[in-house]
Amino acid sequence: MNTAADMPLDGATPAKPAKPKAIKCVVWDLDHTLWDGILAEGDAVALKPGVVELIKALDARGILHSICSRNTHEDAWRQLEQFGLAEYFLYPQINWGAKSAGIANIQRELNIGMDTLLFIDDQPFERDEVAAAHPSVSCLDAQEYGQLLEHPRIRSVVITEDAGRRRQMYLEDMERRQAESSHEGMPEAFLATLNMQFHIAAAQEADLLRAEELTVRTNQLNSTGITYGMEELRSFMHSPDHSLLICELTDRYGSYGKIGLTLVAHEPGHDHIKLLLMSCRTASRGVGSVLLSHLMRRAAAAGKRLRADFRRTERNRQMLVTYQFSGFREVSKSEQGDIVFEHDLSFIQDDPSYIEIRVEH
Amino acid sequence: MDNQFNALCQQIREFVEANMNVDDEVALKDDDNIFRLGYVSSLFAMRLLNFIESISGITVADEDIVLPNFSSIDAMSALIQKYRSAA
Repeated sequence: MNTAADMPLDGATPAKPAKPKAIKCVVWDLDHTLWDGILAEGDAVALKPGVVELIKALDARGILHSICSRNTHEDAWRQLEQFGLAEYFLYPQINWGAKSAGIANIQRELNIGMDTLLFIDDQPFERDEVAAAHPSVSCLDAQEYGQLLEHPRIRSVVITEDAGRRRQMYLEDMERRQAESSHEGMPEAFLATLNMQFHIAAAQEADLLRAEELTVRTNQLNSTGITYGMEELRSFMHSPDHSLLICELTDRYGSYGKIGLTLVAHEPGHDHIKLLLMSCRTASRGVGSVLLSHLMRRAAAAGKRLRADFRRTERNRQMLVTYQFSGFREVSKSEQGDIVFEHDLSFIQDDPSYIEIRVEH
Repeated sequence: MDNQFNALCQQIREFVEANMNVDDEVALKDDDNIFRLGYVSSLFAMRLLNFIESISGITVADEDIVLPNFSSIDAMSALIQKYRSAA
């Protein structure tokens, strides 16, 4: 067995505390945090020293930025545009409501875990209000902003090719969603307007860092939640008994990046899906089912059966739904709750017509 | 069968009909298998699950999230009835 499989199970008593998750988004207050002065009181506000460089450095690492500030949206946004920083902030929450509500909006819009947000504010009251409503959010005193790059949950973030494009991809997502919300009719009809291409390929050396990152960052559409290190992934990539496939999704707005990964062990009588995951940004695109169908056809063509490991976590219900709605049935369940699924391959659903599938492996 | 239950079933029927990839002329029967007949996709199955949970307030247990429970109006009615009588 590999070391990853020995990690503590969800729900079981962990041998050691779970590693804190990497920070995915920094949420900034404005007055006396991002800048000195209070905008609404007519101050000529000035950015805190080094804050522009800091924001750009975090952005380059693939860490997103947002805002949660009590201000008038138009005024604050104009000021951010003048500073040349507006484009860095996704789903800014600039209003007079509770900051805990703003944080909840950001979390929902970005579709990332509450425990991957870091909130930075100069006022203890605001930090306490957010912490009370969302205990898993990290709260930081604005005075400590200079140490953000050294924060243990930021320093450890791995930088991949996709990381450098992450903000751009979220901006493309915002465009897509605007188009989607203004579209009338069935979601499938909207999907058909996107000209989606789904590319399935054997992972290459250059993909391994991203593949590792996907196993760490992906929680909802993840069949086991088991994380794999680069070394392990490299050995699977070279193993004749395994397939390590990585998937990219593109549409007319741009590329979603490398958003899917699967590890298949080729056993004598059957293929065994050890891991299958998809970035949550693709959740409404149905590509998890597309990848599963691809693996089904491949096993069927080889005259094999198809099995899959599944470990239920608190957050991967949608992946369970994907497997079970694709026709996988539970054949065994360990005392720890680890499930083995099997598909009888008697009926494999056609791929949706709104997506073009390319396979290279 | 009480009125609330009938109303739920009617909402599900309307949701399915509004999402079928067929002419308006096709009449949906209560025991039609909507997946086998190609009326809807597996992606729709997920939306159907979300829809049913949102209108009925039930949370479908893992073991019940299988296509046969969502494959026809009859099957979905039976599923909801099961949770309602268990409550």
